[in-house]
Amino acid sequence: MKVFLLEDDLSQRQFFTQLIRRQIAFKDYPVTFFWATGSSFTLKKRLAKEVSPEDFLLFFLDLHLKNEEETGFSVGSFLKATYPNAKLVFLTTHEELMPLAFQYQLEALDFLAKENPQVETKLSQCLDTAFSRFQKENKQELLTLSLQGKLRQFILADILFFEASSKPHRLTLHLKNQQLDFYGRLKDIPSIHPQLLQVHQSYVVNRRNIQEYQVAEKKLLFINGETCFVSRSYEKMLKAILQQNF
Amino acid sequence: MKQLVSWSFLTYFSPLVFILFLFWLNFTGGLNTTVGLVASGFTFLGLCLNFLMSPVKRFRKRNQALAFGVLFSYFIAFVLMVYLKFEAFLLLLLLGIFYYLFIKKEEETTKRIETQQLQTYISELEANNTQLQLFLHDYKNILFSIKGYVAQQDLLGLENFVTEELHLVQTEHPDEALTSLKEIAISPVKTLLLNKFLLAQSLQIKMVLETVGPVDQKNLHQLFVLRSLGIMLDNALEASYHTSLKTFEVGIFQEDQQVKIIVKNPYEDFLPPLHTLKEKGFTTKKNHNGLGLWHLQNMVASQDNFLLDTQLKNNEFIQILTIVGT
Repeated sequence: MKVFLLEDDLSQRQFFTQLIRRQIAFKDYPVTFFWATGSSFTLKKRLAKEVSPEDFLLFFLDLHLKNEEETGFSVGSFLKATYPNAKLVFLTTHEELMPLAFQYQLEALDFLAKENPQVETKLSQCLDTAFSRFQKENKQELLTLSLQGKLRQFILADILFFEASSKPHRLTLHLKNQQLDFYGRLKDIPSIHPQLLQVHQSYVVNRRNIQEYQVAEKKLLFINGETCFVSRSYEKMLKAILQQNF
Repeated sequence: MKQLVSWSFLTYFSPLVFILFLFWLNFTGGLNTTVGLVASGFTFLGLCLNFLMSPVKRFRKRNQALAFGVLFSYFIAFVLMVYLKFEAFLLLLLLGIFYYLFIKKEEETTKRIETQQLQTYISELEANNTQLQLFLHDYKNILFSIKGYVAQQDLLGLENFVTEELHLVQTEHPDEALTSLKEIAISPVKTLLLNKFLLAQSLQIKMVLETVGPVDQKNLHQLFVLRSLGIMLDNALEASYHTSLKTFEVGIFQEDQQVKIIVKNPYEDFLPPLHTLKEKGFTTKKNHNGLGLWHLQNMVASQDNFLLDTQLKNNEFIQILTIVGT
């Protein structure tokens, strides 16, 4: 895990540097690199030199950069675009609800209030969640999909099936607790991962999440109770694969 | 480009005219020369490019380039045909007539859609208005009872009444909550949000509205955007009314050529799996037809440029509607 801090106020930068150093030493995480800076320009330059795509990155970004044209938000969106698995934590001046833009546009981890007297415990929590996320992502297989030009990662075990919609080139991805639409072709889906299997002209399923196959109705039942249809031409192949699995 | 020559006209009518003309050329023997072959080649190229065009899946600039390519190849084909046979000028006339008829019909449909939009908008306003009036009526009753306490000089009773009976709506900075409304330049959307905000306030629910930068995409004018947003807001309002938090969040962001509308509300009761929520007739309440989510789902499915993301996470119900620009 590599940790970066972007804070333009010198005294606060020193304060947070100290805090993070202490936490890292205390936690005994495999943090290989920590670096603090005051300008987004040097941060980007350093990143280009220091970071490889498979690194786990954690950023602490100041929300209000005083001397710069950029805001914490724009730096964050740049980072998220270049390093999709980076985790972001924003430093703010006062405690507030994290706006939706930060949660869903940037998938930010947390907001850290600078004047909060318990900032150190909060910071340690941030490190904990970031680390556990990285571990989870490391352990669980991820599936990267391009959604309208943006790369998004999904946990493979959460994926139930892909469904073609009535409109051409539009798919619905069914996850355990989520359904989302995106543009794509169903034909391209099975080649993403060997676990994905076409069972119908308009369904590609994740075979690990199949609970049972209802032969009479030609229906697949998934672990969350959802069902999808199987067509005759794929049935034989499906049966063979299911028998292999069980 | 789109304003110059209508998109669907280019797709449906011009290839037809050109192909018919090619047939005619063939019968009169004009196609056997090299010029005739080249002309038919360019017509074919235009035809192919024509069917590559689609307003949704590609960025506007690329589509514009395609449209330009189509026009260009048709133009060359036209010039070559005129060179071959002077009568090819008829083609221009034919296209002109078709175009005129097409535009006329297009205008009619847009007009019809606009009136429809206006009607939904007005009915929405009316519905909200009656609710607001009920609220005002309540206010009057409250004032009367306060007057009663004052008339009896019963200060203790008044204090009790104010602190216990009236759960005063806490709006610390009412202006601040609505600053993000200024960013929204689409007036129907703005009014809908304002109405729901007032309605939420009257039900003592806090609605947090959030924007980043201006929201002014033209495609937000669609009737379906208004209806979908209405359903999403109503759902969030109702759901948060039954929780102790009594708050829900709405975010509208514009990014590149797409608009994202995020509505997030908490829920406390146990909710069944997501796919059953979306079935027709699902509802958590009695005396309710429960068509909301099903309706929204259908509306999204009917629109090429609508994408819906529904999530159930940590006792929060999140819906993200993406409207892709053309």
